[in-house]
Amino acid sequence: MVFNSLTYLLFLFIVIILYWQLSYKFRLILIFFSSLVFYGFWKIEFIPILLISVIVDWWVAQRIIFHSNKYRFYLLLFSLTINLGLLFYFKYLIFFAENSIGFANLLGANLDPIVLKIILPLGISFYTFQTISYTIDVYRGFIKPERNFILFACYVTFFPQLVAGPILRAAEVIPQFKNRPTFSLNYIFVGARLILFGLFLKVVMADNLSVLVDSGFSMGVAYMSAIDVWTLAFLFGFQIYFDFSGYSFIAIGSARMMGIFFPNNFNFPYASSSPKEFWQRWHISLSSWIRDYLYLPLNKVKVFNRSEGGISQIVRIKGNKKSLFFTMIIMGLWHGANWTFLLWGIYHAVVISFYRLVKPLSVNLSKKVRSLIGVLITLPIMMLSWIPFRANSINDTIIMWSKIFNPFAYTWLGMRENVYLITFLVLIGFYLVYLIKIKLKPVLSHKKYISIILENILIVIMLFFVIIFFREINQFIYFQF
Amino acid sequence: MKYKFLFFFISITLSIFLLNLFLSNIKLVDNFEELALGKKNKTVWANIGNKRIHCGDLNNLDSCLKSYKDSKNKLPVVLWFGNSQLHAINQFKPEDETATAHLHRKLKKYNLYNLTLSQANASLQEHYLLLSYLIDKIPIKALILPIVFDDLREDNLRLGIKGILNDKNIKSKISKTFTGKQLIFRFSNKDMAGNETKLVDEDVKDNFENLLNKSLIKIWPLWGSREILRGILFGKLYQLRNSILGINASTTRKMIPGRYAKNISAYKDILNLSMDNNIEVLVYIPPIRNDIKIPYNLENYTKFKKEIKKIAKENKFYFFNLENLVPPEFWGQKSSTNIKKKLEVDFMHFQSEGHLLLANAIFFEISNFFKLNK
Repeated sequence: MVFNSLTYLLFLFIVIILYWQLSYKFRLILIFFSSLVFYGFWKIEFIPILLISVIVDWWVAQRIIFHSNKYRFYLLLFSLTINLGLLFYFKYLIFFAENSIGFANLLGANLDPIVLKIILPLGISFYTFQTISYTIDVYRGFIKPERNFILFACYVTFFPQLVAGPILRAAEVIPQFKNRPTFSLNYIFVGARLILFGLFLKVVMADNLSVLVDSGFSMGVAYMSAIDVWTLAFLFGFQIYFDFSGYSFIAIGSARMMGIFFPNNFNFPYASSSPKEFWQRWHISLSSWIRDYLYLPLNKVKVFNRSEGGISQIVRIKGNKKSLFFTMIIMGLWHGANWTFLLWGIYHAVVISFYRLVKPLSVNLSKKVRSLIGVLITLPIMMLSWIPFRANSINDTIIMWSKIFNPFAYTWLGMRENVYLITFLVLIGFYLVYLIKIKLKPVLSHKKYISIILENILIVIMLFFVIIFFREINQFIYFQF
Repeated sequence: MKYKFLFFFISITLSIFLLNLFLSNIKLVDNFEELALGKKNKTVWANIGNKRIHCGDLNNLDSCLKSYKDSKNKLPVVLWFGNSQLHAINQFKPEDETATAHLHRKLKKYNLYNLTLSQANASLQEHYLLLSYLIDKIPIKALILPIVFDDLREDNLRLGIKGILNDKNIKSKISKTFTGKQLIFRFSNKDMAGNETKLVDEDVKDNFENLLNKSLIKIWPLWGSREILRGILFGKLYQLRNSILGINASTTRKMIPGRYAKNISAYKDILNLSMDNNIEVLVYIPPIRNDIKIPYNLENYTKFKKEIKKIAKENKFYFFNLENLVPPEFWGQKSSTNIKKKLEVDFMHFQSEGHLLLANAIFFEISNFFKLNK
């Protein structure tokens, strides 16, 4: 079930009521089975695949600690083979087969295309990364394996984060389940506010922008002006941000209602003054995962064990560029089996490499000026990275990117006037909210009643719009990854 | 903490109260179409006796198809597509009728059955999809196709037409055309990597969600009126934008190249589909109020008319131009499109006399084409 549905709200309400009524042992059983119901609501056939991942990693982790180095490694390899094998089969096999046949035909073979009907199980990229991280953490000795199967299964299948993250570490979640949180009205209150905010971002902002984005990207690249390309890049950048951060807020809020704390997954990414900062603010749990299980190990650097911080360390390592490119390509392909995602990864690797080169040029500037110039440069560069993410093909992406370097492509407008106006207003609105957060909020925190009143005015406005726009018209974008 | 809770619950109550207040002010508007057209225009879906012969989209198309199926002789159908010009009557008076009703009666004498489908700001892509849908359902002899410059700026597929894409047979048929491919690619459930995303057991999920929605509407009727609320909200935003930027009904509209091209492709696909199914197409440029400066970029509009005519002729279809058909006295005004509350010139919708003129003109052209009087 999707978060923006009445079904989910009713489901959450029932689960929360039962959760706080039950004893510790039954709470875990409730979480596990309600998570299976939540997941099975999409397609019941997906449940065994999820359970395979859960059982394999639980079993492997139990044995890893009792065996010698060599055997431990084989066990880890077994777990990785199962998890990555499932991921490869469901997510990449069609892509791999099609491209292999295409390549072979290019070389002169005359192979017929294979028709494979494989449905991608929802959230597989998220939960396999989560189970992989658990087994690797046990292997590294960061955590002890969890003996209680239900407790471990709750960590992997916990419904708020099951299908689209945040991708959390066992060390962050399992102890919270073990601590047996006691009921506090504050959990419900804060959780409800987070859910409301997430729904606002999803149903009011993202879903309404999606209409403009879909229409814009479908117009045909030949008719797009350079201004259209910029506008669509910004518009989709905001759509995906509102969509995914909205999802994350609902996930965090739902977990909070059960006394479970999740770290933030987004922190105003478009206010970043460098690519480094962007990866500390965007999909933080994924970039932290990539940092700890791919990039830092590739560079033989000490890893962390938390889903916070993002890929900030990347720029500190004078490591070889190959690992950076490899990491970003994997990050791109994690999103989907398509050349456009690979291009997206390469683009980010190039941007980070370039940033490393030019960073020393800014050392003489004051912090404020550096920050302002940084935002002005980083924002459009990051927005342009969304084009391969959303464009229909690599070819379309290249054409769109090339338009922005063509001065003659700035002489007409290819979309309705509203689209430009809305993009501009969203951009202004984003920075206005950001400034309010960093400048006004600290001031208001000392004025208790004013801040409560303002907060509640905001709640009235958000709830008003959420009720009007609440409908299950679009799935969350990140469900497909 | 106690204050926080108190305020939180007050906020929730206040939001719901505001929504109810908002709704109580718009109870007079029970039809979204009416709201969009403004107070000076009235939507009229033509009926002959108790048989409906003029529909909008899938939401009510069944009633028109039923009327046809219930008719005695199952006459060949003259299908008329169009935009709100066909279902809106400016300065409506009781007993006024639309062009559809007039034409239906005239054609019936010659053993032809007129059925009209019109939607506000209908794009040719929508018409293409509707034609694909109707071809197997009724025996279409001719299609009357007005092509409105304004509507070539449209590119969306409204919910009431989008549902056609759920039909696998139609999806398979249209997938061979440019327009069909575009529509399927854009409006089917595909993810960014091009994979089908219809992962869910839609029936179970949708049935449960629908059940919850219906139950909520029973408890709280406002929940069912949210579509109207959304429409009003967008309408107000639209008016606000127009007021700030000084936009009104007379403001010149330019062609939007990408959308224009897609709609021209859809036009060609309609003609090809008709040709393949032995349907005669009568293409026309619809009436527009032109005693004052029309709200189109003249260069664009001239190019548009030439192109529409050229494509029709190339495909050996009948073309005629009715842009000067309705004299100034049969046009009118419409509610303002900005918040200053003044009336504006209506370039699209005319009074009932205009509808009669339109029906006569269309009948004249059909008579010529099919040689009905001979």
